[in-house]
Amino acid sequence: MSLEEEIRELVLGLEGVSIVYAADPLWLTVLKQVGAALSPGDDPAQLPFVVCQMEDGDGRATMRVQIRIGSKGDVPAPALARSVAAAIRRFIAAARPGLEVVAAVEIAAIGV
Amino acid sequence: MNPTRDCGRRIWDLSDFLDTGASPDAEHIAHCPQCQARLAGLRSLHAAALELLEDDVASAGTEESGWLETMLANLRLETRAGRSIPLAGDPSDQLSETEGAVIALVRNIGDSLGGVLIGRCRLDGDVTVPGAPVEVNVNVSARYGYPLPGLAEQLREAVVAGLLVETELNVAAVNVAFTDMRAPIAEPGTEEGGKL
Amino acid sequence: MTRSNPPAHRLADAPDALLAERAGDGDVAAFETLARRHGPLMRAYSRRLMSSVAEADDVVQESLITAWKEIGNLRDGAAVKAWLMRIVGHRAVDAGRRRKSHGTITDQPEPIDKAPGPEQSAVTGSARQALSRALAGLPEEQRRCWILKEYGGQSYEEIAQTLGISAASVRGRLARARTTLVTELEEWR
Repeated sequence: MSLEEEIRELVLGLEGVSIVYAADPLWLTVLKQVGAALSPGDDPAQLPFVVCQMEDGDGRATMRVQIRIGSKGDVPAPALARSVAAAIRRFIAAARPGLEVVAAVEIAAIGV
Repeated sequence: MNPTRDCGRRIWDLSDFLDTGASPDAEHIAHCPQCQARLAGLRSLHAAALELLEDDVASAGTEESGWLETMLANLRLETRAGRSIPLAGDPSDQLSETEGAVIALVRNIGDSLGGVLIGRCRLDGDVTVPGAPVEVNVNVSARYGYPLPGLAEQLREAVVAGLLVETELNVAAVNVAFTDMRAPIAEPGTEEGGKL
Repeated sequence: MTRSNPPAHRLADAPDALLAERAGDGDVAAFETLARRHGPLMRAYSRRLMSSVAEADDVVQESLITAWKEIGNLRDGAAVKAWLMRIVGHRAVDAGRRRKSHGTITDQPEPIDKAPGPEQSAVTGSARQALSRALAGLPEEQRRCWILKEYGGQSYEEIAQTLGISAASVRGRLARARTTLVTELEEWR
């Protein structure tokens, strides 16, 4: 499993998270353009969900992790965003020690 | 067709007349048996067209279309984001929620009050700036023209409470507008809630 | 935290304008209701404009995707039905043009046995079947004008814009189509 997929799995298991959305909101258009027919049974892992990009942050190696989620509604959205970011940060500290992390967490749906 | 000699009018003029109801030739058309016969033919064609349309719609309505289900399932995953509303966090985090998520939240809060349906919701103000005052504007469908007493206040309170929990917005006001919308009239050949 | 959505039947009774507003805000359930409500008409329309059922369904699917993207910009929600039909009309004409430019179709009257619409009536020789056959025999440009008018309810100007021709040409094609159809219906009788 790639780092992105691991992060996705991790976040899906967190309290209050209902869903991890595809990274690119226009994926539907893109898929149509390439003529791919998506059926409900298709493996969703083919689409990018978590985006990890290396950035140059003041000389230190920094990884920017981008993720879009939906909240279940039992954990208030502001607190949920913070706890997801913290979980991502902890995970990367263990998986890639020494890396600075910028966690970009967007809540795209509340109470779904 | 009337056997008298051709009145010289062309079907062009009648075709126009049928569509617009007006013609510089209206006087002649009204009294010419040939034109009247042709008009009758055109009206009959129009009636047959409506019947054919009804048939086509009825048969289209009974067929399965798995592609619609797939498309709708995919649409649910494509959220209508709107602006990005910042949330507080660790200095190196970039936390946010989408305007679309908050609007859907307001709509759900309103819908759950019962008896009414929420229409358009708007967040007015610069939601991208933490602490900037924001006004929430909500349309409520008063289906039969009777806004329930106290509903506006109830809705306001529920929305303010919901936003307090799920956002960090500075909600300056919740404005409720009752819009009078009538229910659709069922048309022949269509099924409400029928399969596409 | 309330998480309820209105039961489907409440939305099913809601007027177009309300559904359009909700769909514009991102409510998929409202959009779905609109799609089910107007879909059969869109499909019937598309089938008469296209040469095959598969192409016609593609046009409707693309139209609904376009509608989903654009419905937030729709100012008059009550006119959503006419708006959906306009999208289908434009897409069908575009799809027809793309086919032509790829050289697979020549601008000739389509053979009568290649009827564009479904022949659903079980009663042979009915007026509707006669009309359906007569429609199939019309030159494509005349048939499209006629369908855009009779099914789509468009004005001469709107049809002119959709097809990229003058209103006068629309008038002419409509008149020719009607002459042929009236004659064929009378012969059938």
